[in-house]
Amino acid sequence: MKDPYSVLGVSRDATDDEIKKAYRDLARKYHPDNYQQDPNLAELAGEKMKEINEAYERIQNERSGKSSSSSSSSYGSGSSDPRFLEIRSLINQRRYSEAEIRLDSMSSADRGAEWNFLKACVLAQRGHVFEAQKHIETACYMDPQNPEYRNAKEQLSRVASGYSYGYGSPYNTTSSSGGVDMCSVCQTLWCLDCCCELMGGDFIRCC
Amino acid sequence: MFGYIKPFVPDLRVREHELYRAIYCGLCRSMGRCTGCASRLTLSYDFAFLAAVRLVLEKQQMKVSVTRCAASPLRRRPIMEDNPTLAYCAAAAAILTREKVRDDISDSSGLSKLPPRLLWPAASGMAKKALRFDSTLPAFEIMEGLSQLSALEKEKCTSVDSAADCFGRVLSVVFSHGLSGSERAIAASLGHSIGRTVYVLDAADDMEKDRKKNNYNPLNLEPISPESLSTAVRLELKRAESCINLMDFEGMTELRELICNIIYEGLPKEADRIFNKSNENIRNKDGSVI
Repeated sequence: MKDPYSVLGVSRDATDDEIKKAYRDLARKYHPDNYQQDPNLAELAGEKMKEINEAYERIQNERSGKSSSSSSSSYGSGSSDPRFLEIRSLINQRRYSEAEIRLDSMSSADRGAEWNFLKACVLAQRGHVFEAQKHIETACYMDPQNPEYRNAKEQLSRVASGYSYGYGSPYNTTSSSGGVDMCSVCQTLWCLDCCCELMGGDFIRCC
Repeated sequence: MFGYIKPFVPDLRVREHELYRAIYCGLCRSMGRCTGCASRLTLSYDFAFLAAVRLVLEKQQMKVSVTRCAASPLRRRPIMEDNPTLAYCAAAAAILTREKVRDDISDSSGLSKLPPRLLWPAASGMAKKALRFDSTLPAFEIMEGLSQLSALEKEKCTSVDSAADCFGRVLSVVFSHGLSGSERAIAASLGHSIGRTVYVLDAADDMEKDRKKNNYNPLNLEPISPESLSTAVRLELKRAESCINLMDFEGMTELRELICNIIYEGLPKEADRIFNKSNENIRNKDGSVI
């Protein structure tokens, strides 16, 4: 079965909103209304639609934690220490700086595999990839059996290797769904007008 | 054909443009090989688009090399090496050219019959070579479709739609020949809407000329405003878009960008150019827009 994220054309760490948007765009693209004239194509589009729906459903299940195979994307599992549970819930709420303060305040005796793992998560979110890598290596070294740490390590290297071919995708999806959208054009014009007015000129006369 | 189906080059990436040129040059070379040197002069942008679409649908392995060419001996250019897709497109181009010359002969009268008559031996020779090269070519279907079209023209059919539909069916055959399954369905539908688009564009482009020469043109028989022509073309392109959405571009990003560029930018720009031109002509004559 295909990776649900690649079906929707989003990365694994896309936000729920991004995923919803990608899903909606695709659903509009393959809507049966677009294929009324040709029954053969309508059938193909129907298959595509089914694939997209399934992928969206799977991602939603994964993210809400219904599926048992989801361990990499949510940081809620595998912990027994209440302090770590708390930090995990902070990370899940995207409150990274609070999570980091708590992590840093822990004594060096408590800094085991899980501490390193969570620290790596926070650092990766801030873009400190090298340090994150170091911490995740340490976590894997301290607890080589833990699937969560291994997954995270793989994910990190996957994100890194995905750079070169992932580059084209955001550009491509916008251009294949019809080029520049009106909002961004208007926004640009409006910004341009504001800038011109600041400099004493005017781009749009009436405002 | 007509050369309306081309990309809007400023919006292509360099590598996409290079691939496009490689396809164009590769097609030219294939024509030289399959249908003779003279046929290379009849190459138009439309066939490069046909080749791009078929390359995707056939999942063709492509190889581009940089070599010199007789047309530009000084600069080395990227050229796509010959493959079955290019060979098919070259052969199909030869058949379509023959039918166009045949059509020109039957359309014109008196002295103007002379130029197409002179071209006829070359054109029919090309088509014969093409058929020798690939005997499965849908030559008969193309001929029949185009003769239906000229029958419509003879009875001065006023409906642009039925004339355009006729041409659409011909291109549908050309696009989908030899494919099977979902690829065939996609190619047939895409060819159909591209054919309809091109026919309308050509009719609008030739309006003035045909009026002077008193040739058949459905748009002169029943005037249609440039706005509604433009809407019709955009609706047609929307259909083409829905076909392209179903194509599998796995590992062919440049071709996807190229094809999307042609559908989203190249053809609409060409349409605007043509419709604005005919718009101006009408304005100049009566001082008002229809």
